[in-house]
Amino acid sequence: MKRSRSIRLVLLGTVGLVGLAGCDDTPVASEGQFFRDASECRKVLDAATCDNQFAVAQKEHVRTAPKFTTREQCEAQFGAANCTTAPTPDGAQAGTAATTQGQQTAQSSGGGFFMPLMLGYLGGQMMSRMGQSAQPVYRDAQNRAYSGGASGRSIGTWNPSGGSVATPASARSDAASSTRRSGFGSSATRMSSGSGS
Amino acid sequence: MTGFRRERLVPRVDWRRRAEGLGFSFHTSDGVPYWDETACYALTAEAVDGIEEATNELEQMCMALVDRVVSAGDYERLRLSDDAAGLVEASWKRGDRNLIGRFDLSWDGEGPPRMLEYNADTPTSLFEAAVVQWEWMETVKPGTDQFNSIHDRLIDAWGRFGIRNPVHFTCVRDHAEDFGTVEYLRDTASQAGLSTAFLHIDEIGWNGLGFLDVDDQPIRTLFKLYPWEWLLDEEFGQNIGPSRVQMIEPAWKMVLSNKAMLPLLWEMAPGHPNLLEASFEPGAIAGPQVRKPILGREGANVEIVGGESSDGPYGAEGFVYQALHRLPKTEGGYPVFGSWVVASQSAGIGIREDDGPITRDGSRFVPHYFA
Repeated sequence: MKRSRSIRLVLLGTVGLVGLAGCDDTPVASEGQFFRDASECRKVLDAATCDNQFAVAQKEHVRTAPKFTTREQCEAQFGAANCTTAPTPDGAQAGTAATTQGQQTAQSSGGGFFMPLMLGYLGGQMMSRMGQSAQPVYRDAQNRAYSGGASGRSIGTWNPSGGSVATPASARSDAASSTRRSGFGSSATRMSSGSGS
Repeated sequence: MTGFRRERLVPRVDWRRRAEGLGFSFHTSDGVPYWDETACYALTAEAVDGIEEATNELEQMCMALVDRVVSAGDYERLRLSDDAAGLVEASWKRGDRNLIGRFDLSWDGEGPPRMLEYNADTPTSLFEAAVVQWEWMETVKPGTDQFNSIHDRLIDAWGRFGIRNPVHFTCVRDHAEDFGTVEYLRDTASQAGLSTAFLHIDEIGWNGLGFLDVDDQPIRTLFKLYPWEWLLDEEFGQNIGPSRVQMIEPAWKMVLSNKAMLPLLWEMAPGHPNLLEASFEPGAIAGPQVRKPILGREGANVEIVGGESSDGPYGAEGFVYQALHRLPKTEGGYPVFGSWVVASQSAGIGIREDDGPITRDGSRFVPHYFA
């Protein structure tokens, strides 16, 4: 193929940049949507996706939730009345939990662990399309919400009265308020030139 | 028979209006037309085949060179820091895809085209080559053909990237040419169905975990028209690796956008008909030669040893030497063939003429056709 068939410009040219700026207003693909459970999810998504993702999140919760030897330790991090006993290592799932979790606390004791309650989960169609598994979500004693699992991170603030996570469930971190800028671009100023070649 | 001839033309009376209608805002620079349709180049079909073949061959050699450098850990001669080398290695082993590159070829219309250099990281003159000269061909030389499938190939390439939406695009502020190039690429990405956003390079935010755009949304894929070596030299440079942002061009392009690749290529394929002999040592090459800064842009700090030279801010990293292969002299100056690759496939050419034998950013873009 030595030639283009025809050239059409969408953003540039007579169509104009301004006219299409609206395209960028579509929501940025986020890491996932926060749902308390499958029934809340079913209000916006199909039942099969919701049930499947909720089940995956619950399983991931049992497998990867932080385990503590005492309820006090757990509540110190996750708040009063926010912890429960972990399934015993005798159970098939719990046995997996204790070994794969691999936390010091889990290995230093023979059983009777405590772990935080699952607040909800991150799921949704975007995660499903991107081949990502649903993730359990926890809140800590300061009502900060975290996703669990291997990619755990802060996802916003838990609003107990509204029953929702206050910021969109994007990868926005609790450090976002301290975002720094101008960490790139100094060389161009120094070289006083464009960057092309 | 020679592969091309230069034709003089009367410019279209409305060429400025047409250029602007396409969104080509930088057609004139300092009052002098950058887009120059007072002439064009007419190529033969055989010439086009030859350039295409040479370009694909050069790109294959470049891929082999990156593999060789990574396998041997040969980063010192490229003046790559440990950080840079780590990013190169990781991106190459992950198989990070690349989008565009432009070989600058010296060709007098006979014999094999010779590679002067490879603009592998931040090539410009893309929009002119892909769109503006195409519109020129359709109106001035209808019924002829042009060596130009850049636009179609870009849309196709974006579709194959496997990118997680959105893609962010960035370049420096207040630079019409860089911005025009980036906006054109953004256009092709959006035509491939991707959602896109633009921000200036200094607007990129860092929150300790990842890069954020102006709305504090995460940047996961970033097309940057900004040199890798500059990024790594700046405050946020060390964050690129941990952030796991997908960069376009990928970090492994640092091996190729670096003129130390010229002697390394010659070492790998000595005597290749599309290469010019090159060395790290002054005087190692018999005959006339050119000294080029290892990291340099837009023809700055290039010296034809014992002859013409250009000034500029580059050269701190050292120089390489390349056998002189003078650009042909036409009545319009010295033409260089910019031969584009899109996703590592030869995709078309853009010819620029300069008044001097060293092509600078003041060169003029002259359209072409073939029949």
